[in-house]
Formats: sequence, C-alpha cells, structure tokens
Amino acid sequence: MSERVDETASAPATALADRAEVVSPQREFGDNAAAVELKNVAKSFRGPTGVKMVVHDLTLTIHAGEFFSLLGPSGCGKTTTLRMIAGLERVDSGRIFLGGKDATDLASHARNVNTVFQNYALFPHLSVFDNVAYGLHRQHVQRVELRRRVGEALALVHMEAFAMHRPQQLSGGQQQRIALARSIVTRPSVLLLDEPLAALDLKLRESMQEELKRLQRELRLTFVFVTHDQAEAFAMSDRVAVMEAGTMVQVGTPEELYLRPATRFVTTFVGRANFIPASLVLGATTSRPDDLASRQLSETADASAAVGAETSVFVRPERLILRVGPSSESVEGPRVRGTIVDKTFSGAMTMVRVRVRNDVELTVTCDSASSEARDALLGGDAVVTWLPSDATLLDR
Amino acid sequence: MRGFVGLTYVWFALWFLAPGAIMLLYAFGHTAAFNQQGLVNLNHLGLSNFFEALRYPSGPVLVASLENAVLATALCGVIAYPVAYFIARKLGPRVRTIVLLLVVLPFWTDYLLRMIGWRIFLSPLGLLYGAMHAVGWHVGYLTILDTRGAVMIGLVYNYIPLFILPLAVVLERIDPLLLQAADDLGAKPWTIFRTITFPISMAGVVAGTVLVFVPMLGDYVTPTLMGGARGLMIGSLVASEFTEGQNWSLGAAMAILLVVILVGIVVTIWLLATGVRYARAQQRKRTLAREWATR
Repeated sequence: MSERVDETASAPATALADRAEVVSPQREFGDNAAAVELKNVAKSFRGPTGVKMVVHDLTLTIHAGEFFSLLGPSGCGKTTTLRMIAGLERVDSGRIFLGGKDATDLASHARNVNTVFQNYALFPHLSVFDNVAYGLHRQHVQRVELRRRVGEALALVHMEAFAMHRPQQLSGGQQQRIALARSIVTRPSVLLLDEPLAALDLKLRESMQEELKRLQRELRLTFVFVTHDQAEAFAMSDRVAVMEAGTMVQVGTPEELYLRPATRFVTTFVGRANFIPASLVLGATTSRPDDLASRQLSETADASAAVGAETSVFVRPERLILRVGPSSESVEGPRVRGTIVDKTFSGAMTMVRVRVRNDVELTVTCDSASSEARDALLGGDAVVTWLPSDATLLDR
Repeated sequence: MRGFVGLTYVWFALWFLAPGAIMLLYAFGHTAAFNQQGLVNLNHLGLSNFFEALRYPSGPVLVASLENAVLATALCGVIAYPVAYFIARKLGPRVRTIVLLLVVLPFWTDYLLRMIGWRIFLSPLGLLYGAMHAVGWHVGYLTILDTRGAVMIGLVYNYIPLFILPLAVVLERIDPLLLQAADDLGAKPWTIFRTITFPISMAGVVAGTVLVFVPMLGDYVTPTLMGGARGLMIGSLVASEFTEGQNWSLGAAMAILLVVILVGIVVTIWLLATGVRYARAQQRKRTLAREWATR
C-alpha cells in the first residue's frame, strides 16, 4: 500500500470511529476493561475415537481495544475457543463474559461479536455490496444510511470499485478484504479472526498484516486473532496466548514470550531454541557437558528449585557466543566445549551447529562478517558461551 | 477419445435431431389420401395443422394439460422442499444415503404395476375406503378415481423423486459456514433460511421444476390410467393422432406446439428474471456512483 492510498483510507476510518453512536470499547467499558473474559471454560467433542477434550479449564481476559492472538499448533483448541466466544459453539462448562456481561447462553446472532472466517464464508449469491450490507440489514439500518456505511467499510479496505461484483469474481486477497469489511461494518465490540491470512501468499499476507494492524488502530476495535504462525502473531499482537492441547501455557507480550518463555513448549514453538541439560547444585546450575560452565548461572536460577533437580538451560541461538581458535582458551563465565558439525550461511547471519555431547547440539547464529564465522571450520573445536542474563532455567 | 466424443454427436444427431427434423417437416404437411404413397403428403406445406391443433378438442386439452402440469409441479415443489431439506440437513451421511435410496426405490417396480396399485388403493370400495371405515370415517364410497384429483395424485407420485434428488444435492452442498456467518452477523434462524439457504437452493428448485414439468406435460399414460376419460392430457391426444387417428401431420403439429410452448415459457421466465436483476444492478450502480462520489 502506498502512502497516498493509506491517507485517503484513513478518512472514512476516522469517520467510522468518531461518530457518537459508535460502540467504542474504551468508552463503553472504560480503559483496560475486559472485552472478553473466559472463566474455567471447557469443551469436548464426541469423535469416532470417543470423547475428546478440546479445551480444558481455560481462563483468559482480553482487554478492550487490544490486539490479542491465540497461538498454537493445529488441534490445540484455539479455533474452538474463538468459536465459543462467537457463540458458534456451546461451552460444556465455565462462563463467557462479553463487555462485563454474561454471554454464555446467548446465541451467536445476539452477541455483538463478529467473525472473519478462515475461508471468508462470503455469500456466493449476493454481490459484494449485499454481502457487506448483510449485517446492517439485520439491524434494520435505513437505506440511505446503509449505503453510506457500506461505502465507508468498502473504502476502508480499498474495495469500493468492486461493490457490484460477485465474490467468485474476486481474488483471494480481495475476498479477504470483503470478509473484513462485512464484519466491521456493524461495529462489533470484538472482532474474531480465524487464521484469516492462512490462504494468502507470503507477499499478500505481509501487506494484509499491516492493513489489519492499521484497521485495528483506527477503529480502536478489540481483535482476537487465531494463528499457528508465530511470526504473524508477534508482528501484529499486543499480547499473545500460547495454547497447547486445550490449555493455555503462557500469556504475555511477544517480547515476554520470546525472552522469558514459561515452558519448553513455548520455547520450541516460538523461534529457535537451545537446551543444555543441567542439574542444580547448591542453587547454582552446572551444565553437564562441561563442568566449568557453572557458577554465574545461579543468577537466573529459580530459587525454589530443589538442589539436585534435573533442569535445562535455555538460550536463544542469537544469544549464544561462539569462540574458536586462541580466544576460546580465555573465556570467562558459563561455557561448553564442543565440535563444529555444521555451518550454514544465510546472508547477514551464519548458523553454526556445535555438538557438545553425543546427544546435544547447540545452534549459534553469528554475524557473517565476524572472525568466528570465518574461522569456524567443520570438525574444528569451539567453545560456546553466553551471558547468564540471557539464559533461562526450564524443567527438563 | 476424440473419436468417441464425435461418435456421441453422431448418435445424438441420429436419434434426436433427425426424428425431430422429420416431425417438424410432417407438421407442415397433411395426411396423404388413400391412393397416395406414404402417410404424409408433403406437396403442399402450410400452417393449417397448427391452427387445427389449437381448435377443439386439442386446444382446450392443451390448456388443461398446462394447468395440470403447473399445479402438479407446484405440488411436487411444496412437498419435495421440506423432504429434501430434512434429508440434506437433518440426517447423518449414512442414513441420508439410505433415505435417498428409498426415495428412488419405487422406480425399481414396474410403472404399470405401481399405477394399478394406486387404482386398487383408491378404488370406490378399496384399501383407502377400508382404512377410513376402520377409523370411523364413513363415506358412501370413494369417488377419487377417474377425476382430475386422481391424475394429480398420480403425477405428483410419479415425478416427485425427480424434484427431491437435485434439491437435496443442492441443499446438502451449501457450506454450513455460510449459515454460521449469517448467524454471526445477527440473523435469526428463519432469516438465515430466507436470505441464505432458500436463495442458494433456487438452483435445485429450478432443476427440479424443469425435470418434473417437462415430462409431466407430455405424459399420457398416468392421466389415462388415473383419470380415465377426464384425465385427458395433450400427450394422449398426440399419441392417438399417431395411432387410431392416423393423422401424423396433426400429431406432429401438436407435439411441435407443445415444445414451442415449453421453450417459450422457460425463455420468458429466464428473460424476465435476468432483466429484472440487471435493471436493479444498474439502478444500484447509479445510486452508489452518485452517493459515494459526494463523500
């Protein structure tokens, strides 16, 4: 999107957000009020292999006006969670609150929450205009007003020129925009997005990410975004909830999740990770491969962990430091010794894999222009070190 | 493969187009005199057979046939829609297959046998009479048979599977996500049906209507068997002109007239629908162009 287009697009957006009757989440519930609250929600489905628990005792608060993502692998229950918020799926137990009011027993059409479906679910027998107008018709908005608001919504996604087209005549990205326009035109208090970008190619996906963020900012809407793509979730969200097998593992800002993952699952799901097996000694952790790599780790150790407990030291590849040649002899602080088994050049960065024990390999990314990257030879000796503050102790 | 496809065209031309062309030619001729060769005299072609076909008795019978076919098709639609909806939406995939099989099951029995079965069932002191008697509904004797009502029963019974099947297929194929999207946008169940399910299912309704209406209009066995003398439909007259009447050119003219009326009805409805839709779209385009430009 060019600058010029963005400017013209922002005019109707402001108009949409500033009108008095707009249900602005902040104004309705006050700042930081919960737009969505799930309390001990559980859901199971009866499948061919018996009853399968899909969502397990889920408790979650989504603030008004925030861009919130549910992140997890397929089958982790994130889409089911979204559908329960939409009212398209009944909960087995627990309560759902929307804007502070109990909405657990409300039907989908009675909830002021709209969904953008993964395959868009545009009505094939209606024109783009009538698709977008559908929700307004249900609210008995009068004709002139309806046409104006449909126009605004279409302008917001740059699709005014396609008002009289049928959905089948549009490309995937265009259909995506129509689906978006259709669900924001009624000004819901929460917009639910079920992997809306999954079907788009990479370039289109990136531009739609920006567009979604812009819309969310301008309309001051609460977005709940479901995705299995960590980069997508991080690029767009204020906060991310990582889900695994029907439970929520961790909620936090992208930075928190990346730098301070709560469990091993989060570390592997979010970026690349290195684990160094270790055991806790007198409040300090000794990494097994090299007993010298010891003392300062205590700074990062969980004080409550029992002495002798088996743990893992977790460090991101870009936080590990590679030392080869003479400089490796004089390394201070935590370190492990190993053999270089692989080296992959990928532009600015070079990835080096170091085997520090028969079953433990560490991945180190280093600047391709550095002497380490140059001197790292396959089969050569190396020392891997890190700053204690960059390491996190995790359960084995 | 190409040769095979070509062969199907030859087959089609041989058994559909050629007989059709011969019929069309015959319709303009007139019956040969006894001392002439063949059955149809093609020396003096003219439209007289068509005027003859529109006169008594075939003219009024044609109108009555159209009435019967329209009414029976409408009845088929009204009965078939809920049945198809139930089959497509309320049944699991397994049960659905079985029920669809049951819908077409009567076709496995001989047609005449089924019609005679209906005659026995509806006869003045027959099975239906007995059943009514048993539940305490006393009537002198049943007078359904050999009336237009009986023709209607026969037509609907015979053709309704052809309405149910395409409709059930179309209804089954409607993506449930569309209904959820409508629900999500604030539509109550009846509104979802009115605005989403029904308009999308129109393709099935049209297919069912054509499949049922066209053969119904030409049917002459069912009306004869169920309606007797009062069940006379244009198909019966066409058949009798070719057989007892030995007036092939008049029979051909009636048949051609039937085809022309059918095509005329379909084309008119299609033109009207398309025209109205186009006019509305243009109207909206103008309105939007005017309103959106001034913003």
